[in-house]
Amino acid sequence: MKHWQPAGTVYGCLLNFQREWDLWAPRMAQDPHKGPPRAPVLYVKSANTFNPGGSLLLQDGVKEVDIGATLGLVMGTDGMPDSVVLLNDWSVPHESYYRPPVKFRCRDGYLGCGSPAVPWASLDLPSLSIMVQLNGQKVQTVHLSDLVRPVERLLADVGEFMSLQAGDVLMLGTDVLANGQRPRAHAGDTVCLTVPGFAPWVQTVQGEAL
Amino acid sequence: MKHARIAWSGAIQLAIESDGQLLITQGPHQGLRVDFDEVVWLPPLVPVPQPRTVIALGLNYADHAKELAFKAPEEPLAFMKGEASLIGHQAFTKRPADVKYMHYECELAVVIGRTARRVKKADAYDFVGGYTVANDYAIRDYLENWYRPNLRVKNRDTCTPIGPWLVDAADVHQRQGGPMALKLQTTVNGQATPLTWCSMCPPSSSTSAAS
Repeated sequence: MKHWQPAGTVYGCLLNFQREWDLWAPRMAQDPHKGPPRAPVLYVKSANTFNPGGSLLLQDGVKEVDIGATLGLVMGTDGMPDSVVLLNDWSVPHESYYRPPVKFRCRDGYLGCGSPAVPWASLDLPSLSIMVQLNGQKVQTVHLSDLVRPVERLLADVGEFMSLQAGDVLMLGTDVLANGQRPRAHAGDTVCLTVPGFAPWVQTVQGEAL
Repeated sequence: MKHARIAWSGAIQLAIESDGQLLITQGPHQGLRVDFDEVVWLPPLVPVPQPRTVIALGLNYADHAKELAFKAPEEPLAFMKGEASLIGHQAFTKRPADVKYMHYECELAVVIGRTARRVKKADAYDFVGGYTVANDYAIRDYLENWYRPNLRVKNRDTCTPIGPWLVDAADVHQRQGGPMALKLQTTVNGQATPLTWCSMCPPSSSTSAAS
């Protein structure tokens, strides 16, 4: 079976897990942010990031990557999700959420996306969780019940300023660990994401050939 | 040659500019001429197999960076936009009723002609398929300091008019001074605003790119 790939623009959502929001909350009023975000904080994963292969190649001096286990809503023609996909929204670790360069999120291959889409109507999203395993050891469990903006609210707030077209993907966000960071992977690590009802998504991180 | 993508006679047509008219180049109406005001102009970009990458560069004009008291960024300060924000020439852009700071931003848009990676500066023009013009509106009322520029400011439906023409790269590169000698002119209600010259940005870089 052909690996699944996005047919439309892929949007990611920052600060959409309650734990990360709460960790940031005391600093949100400070410079340079000057206040908590009011609208959803979104970013684009460009087509060069789509990676349905079995490995993520670290290039250009990148030594470690954040694992971004998430589910993406694949939009239908009626402005509602048609299906849901399991994705790894890889990124280069970055502390600042002010104006991070796109090179942290839009590097070649930084959206792991091969697990087949699952019909929206068959799912009860808040009951789902994503288990993240690093080399066979569980390092994170992401509960979809912990979203700051659950699906309906997120779709409404995004729809206030931009339309999602059929085939576009809206990722629900990635959670952090208790220390505020995302689990990280290095060359040689194998990362497996599993959600009941979805095909597991496994990728191995590779260092650049010397 | 100047290429357009238009809606006319109930379908999308490809056309080129010819003696002040549109000459349809493909399909059952090939060879027919239509007037500019008979058609609906679409973004002059043919569909691509994957979702289109739209990259915009911020603070790339020397005077703009200076005016905002920024040092010009050491590497390109790029942000991504979704294709859904693009609309054609002479379309309606929606201005929310309550906003005060809707800024127009005239951009030279560089349409990438083939996959580009690790491109040497000297080879950069070889990767350009053509040039067009875009208005990269920002609604600054909605500016928030999280992942700037936030998409509510920069990725709104209808807020990136682009076109009307896609001009072949060779036509621009053969001109005296090439693309860096182009001048960008914005008029608002018929009144000209100050000119921007492409030479204000570093050679071989662009203000905006759409592959």
